Amino acid sequence: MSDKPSTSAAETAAGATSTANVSNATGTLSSAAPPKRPVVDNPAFRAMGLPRLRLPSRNWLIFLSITGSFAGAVLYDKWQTRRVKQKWADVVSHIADERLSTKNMPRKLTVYLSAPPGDGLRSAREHFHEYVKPVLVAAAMDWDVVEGRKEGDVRHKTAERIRRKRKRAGEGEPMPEEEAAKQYAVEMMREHNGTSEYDGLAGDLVIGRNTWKEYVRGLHEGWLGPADAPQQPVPEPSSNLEQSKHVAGQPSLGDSVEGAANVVAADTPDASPAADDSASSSNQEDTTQADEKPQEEKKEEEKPKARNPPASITPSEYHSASLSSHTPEMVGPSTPIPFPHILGFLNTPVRTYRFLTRRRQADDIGRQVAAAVMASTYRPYETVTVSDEDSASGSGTNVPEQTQILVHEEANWQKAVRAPRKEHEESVWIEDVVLDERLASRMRKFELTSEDEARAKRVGDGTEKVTKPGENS
Amino acid sequence: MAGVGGLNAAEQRELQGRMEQKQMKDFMNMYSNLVQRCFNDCVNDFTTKSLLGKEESCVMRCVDKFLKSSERLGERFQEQNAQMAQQGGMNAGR
Repeated sequence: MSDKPSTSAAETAAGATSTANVSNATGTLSSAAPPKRPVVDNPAFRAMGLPRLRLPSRNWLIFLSITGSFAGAVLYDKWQTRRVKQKWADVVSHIADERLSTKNMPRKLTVYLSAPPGDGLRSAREHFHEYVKPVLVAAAMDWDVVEGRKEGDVRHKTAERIRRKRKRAGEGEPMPEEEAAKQYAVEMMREHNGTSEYDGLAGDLVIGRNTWKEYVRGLHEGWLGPADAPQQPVPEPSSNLEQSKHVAGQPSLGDSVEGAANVVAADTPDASPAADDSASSSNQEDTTQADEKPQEEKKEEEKPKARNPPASITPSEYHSASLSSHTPEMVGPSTPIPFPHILGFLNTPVRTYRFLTRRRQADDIGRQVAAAVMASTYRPYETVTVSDEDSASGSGTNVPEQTQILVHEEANWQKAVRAPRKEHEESVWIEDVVLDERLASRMRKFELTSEDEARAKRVGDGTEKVTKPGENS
Repeated sequence: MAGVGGLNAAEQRELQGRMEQKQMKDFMNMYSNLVQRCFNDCVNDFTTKSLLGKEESCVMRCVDKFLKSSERLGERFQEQNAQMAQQGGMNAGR
């Protein structure tokens, strides 16, 4: 009974509102109010008390989901790499707080860095700065970089360093006093002051497969070859006489360049060590040859010169060479560090995947560098089994581990690397790693002990707190 | 500064005197740097005239570290100087 008046009241109210609406509509048509969109009314939301949400359109949804997921993946990866790098830096940070007396030098690691095939040195440097350097800096470790811009640089520089050490120990031709003073000025001053070098393990960090190959080749050349520096062969008929004469010291210092009249050689835009070499080696000759020089220099300018002097010993001669008597029992423990580097437009999916999973790379590299820095254990290189591609049964041959280090990186190199080399270029990268047993048995590899691994895991989880410098210790 | 050929006795004495003056000056410089740095870093509490125990130990450690670090720096500098002198001698010949 009471419904009827209420319904009639509602009808009249509805009628009134509808007329009001119509009048409103007619009144506001001139002001062009936008028509209201139909609102999707979700009864579940309404029940929970949430406001009326509205999803964006289908196109927007597609766009936002794609960009959102990509951005999310990138951000997650960046966050995780930062955490992982911080973890490894914390694991080694206790080394930075150790005391050092004024008369001792700190430990020095040697980093071997070379431009990957097809790219420049900058990408290798950035890789080093991003993954290797934070851990070294956190441990306050001193390091020395052997850089290589082109193929063969690292080999040459490695061999030079070893020869320099051997000469200092007294092998090879004795150098005149002032020569020795010039070359070894720093070492002699240190001895004079009574500053001792670090007594303990040094270490080598080798970044990349191509650098590893050059490093091994340089090691063999340094310890198995003659102690005196190789000559840059000057392509002249009179060069036979010059080659037998030995220029004391390294070619690049060129102390005999003073007084050399061959400024022409210095103008060659090519590698100036090569120019110094030809100038210094030709300087030994009498001045009667001076008139022949200009024509020969011009001939050399047309033909590109090899960047570094050729190896003083080739791999085929290893077994007949004698190992230097100053070879240490252990050839500095080395750590190979992966350097994934791939070029090419069609490889973009691979590169995108690697870009989104850089945290694994950071973890791996951090582990290797921490192993080298903490120097807790090292093991000799073993033999690994490599499966033969050709054999049907799938049996493997046993090869020394040093040949297979980072071998998967070779798949990333472009085809141009395997092209036959020109005369003045080296071909270390495409040749196999040839080892001499005497040296190979002395090579060691840094490893993390299981306690260090466990500790690293705890630091990463956050269960173990690492005191930062600056806090109360 | 080096004369042509050798230096005679009078010049050598003067050179010696000048070197000594320079060394004295360097030493006084180092001393004032040391005092300034250690005072600024260690002594902070001026509610009392006397040195507190912790300020005293801080000062001792500061002097120790300063001297050790300047010794280390001096050695490194000497080495680099020697190397540069050797190479500079060669470069001058080029």
